Amino acid sequence: MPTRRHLLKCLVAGTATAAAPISLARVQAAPADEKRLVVVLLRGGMDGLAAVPPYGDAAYRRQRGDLALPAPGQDGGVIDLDGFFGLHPSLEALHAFYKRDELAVAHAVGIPYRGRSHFDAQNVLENGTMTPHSTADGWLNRAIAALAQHDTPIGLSVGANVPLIMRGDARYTTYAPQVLPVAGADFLNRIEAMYQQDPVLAKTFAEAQRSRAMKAEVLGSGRGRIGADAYYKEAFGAAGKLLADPAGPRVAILDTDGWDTHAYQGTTAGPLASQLANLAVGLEQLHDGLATTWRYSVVLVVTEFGRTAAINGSNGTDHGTGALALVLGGAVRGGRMATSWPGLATGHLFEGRDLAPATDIRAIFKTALRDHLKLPERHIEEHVFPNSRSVAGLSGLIRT
Amino acid sequence: MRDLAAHPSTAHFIATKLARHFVADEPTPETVTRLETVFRNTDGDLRALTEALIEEPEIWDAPLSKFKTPNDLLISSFRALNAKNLPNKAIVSALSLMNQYPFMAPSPAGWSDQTADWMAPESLMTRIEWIRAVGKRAPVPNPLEWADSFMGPVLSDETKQTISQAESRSEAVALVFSSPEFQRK
Repeated sequence: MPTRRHLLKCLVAGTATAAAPISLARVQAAPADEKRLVVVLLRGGMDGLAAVPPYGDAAYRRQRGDLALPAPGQDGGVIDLDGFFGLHPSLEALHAFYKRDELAVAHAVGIPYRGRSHFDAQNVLENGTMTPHSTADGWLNRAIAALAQHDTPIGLSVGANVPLIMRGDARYTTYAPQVLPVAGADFLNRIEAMYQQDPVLAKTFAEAQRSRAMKAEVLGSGRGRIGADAYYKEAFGAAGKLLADPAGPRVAILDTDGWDTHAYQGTTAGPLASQLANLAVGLEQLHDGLATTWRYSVVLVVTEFGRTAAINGSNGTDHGTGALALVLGGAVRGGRMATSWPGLATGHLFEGRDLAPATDIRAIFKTALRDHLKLPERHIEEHVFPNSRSVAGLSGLIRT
Repeated sequence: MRDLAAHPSTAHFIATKLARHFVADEPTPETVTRLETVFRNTDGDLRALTEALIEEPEIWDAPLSKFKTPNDLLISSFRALNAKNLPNKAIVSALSLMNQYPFMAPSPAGWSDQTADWMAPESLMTRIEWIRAVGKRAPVPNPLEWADSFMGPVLSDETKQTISQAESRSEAVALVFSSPEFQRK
């Protein structure tokens, strides 16, 4: 794990105009505000019905077929949360947060966009409006613009590039982890399918895949040269440490991808189980990095949309609507489901196929800005999430 | 030198080299003979030879028969992204990762011009990993339109569909650069 000094040295300016390099000298500690906010983006459409299965829903097993997880208490079974919902076994580490009342689970949430395009849905999730490509900046940037500014930027973007959600006039710094996340199974499947047009490439690629799998098996590590969770460990741990610094940034975006699971997503083992385990490792690292500032932190884990309720013909799931959001942190009133559940019976599904979006995801974002960062209501309504007055914040989500 | 240039073997050698570089790893004897004839008839005029190459039917019958070297891949990727002022370190480390360290060809004959020397399983994976890293740094606003702008005529329907189904813009860029159309030349 890199030291904090090393991390500070690695901080690089985000853009010439918006970002300023962080000062290595300890500046006057930012007065008053200790509040920290982290948004974790899961690109690709995370399967919320796999991460937090509603095992108590009468339609769960029928919809999910071979993807249904064993009941609590069984081998590889889900970890019960409230007698109706449970955690995927790969997310076991999050159960401790739940038991400490530091994790609230918001199921069946949705962005105000009903298309099935990743690009457009991610854009709406990040731009904070109702339509794709309507702004050049992101809602998180517009939010931090209203906070008291200090010598060092408030924003922090962790990843190879700055996602739209953090782009804008307010200053931010960036941190690029040294390791790249391992290519997801779905990405490799797409390349494999594309190479069917070219027999020589197809054969070479198949051999590469076979030899990598063999090596991973023999060496017993991850799926390739780099352990699968190296990126999550470094990126999330670094974000936590940087945010914990009194003179450092306070609001961060962590970008992850590889959540698009159209084929062979697996159940207790498989590509999705590994991804979920990575996420759990990352969130633990974030918690550890934040150390004592965890108490003042809210972490929002969100994705652009959920996946179809039913399993598809290739043992995966397709783009859906209602999604899962995790709200965790020492400042969260957790240990409960913050969920209005529409049900999985076919008659209750959106367009007959997806979990219906019962809660607008902006309600969670607005709550975090209003109750946690204490942003003025007016700034939120006019600048951060315009035209969202009908979307009320959730009460009692944040300890105030 | 003049005698050497006029020797029939020189015409054959140059014609083969050019055809191998621009047409195919194993150009047909007809192609080589046609170029050879041009070389002899024009006293080795390279301009005339280049024009003949462009007229060569074999080039147009199978436009993507060659596989890019890492150097080709790096230059064409950065051109497609309109990337400028890249640090030398990034370029050298990318080429070294893909086994084509600049100015370090394994023999005085230079880098191989044959697909088989560049397309091996592990090196293909290394390319794809490098490409993913590039994609992460350079998501483009509209990947399909962008790909069409520099690969239009050769872009297949399968590849177009794959790009449009990418889970993010970064992944779309990586899929464009990994596509058979982009990997070949």
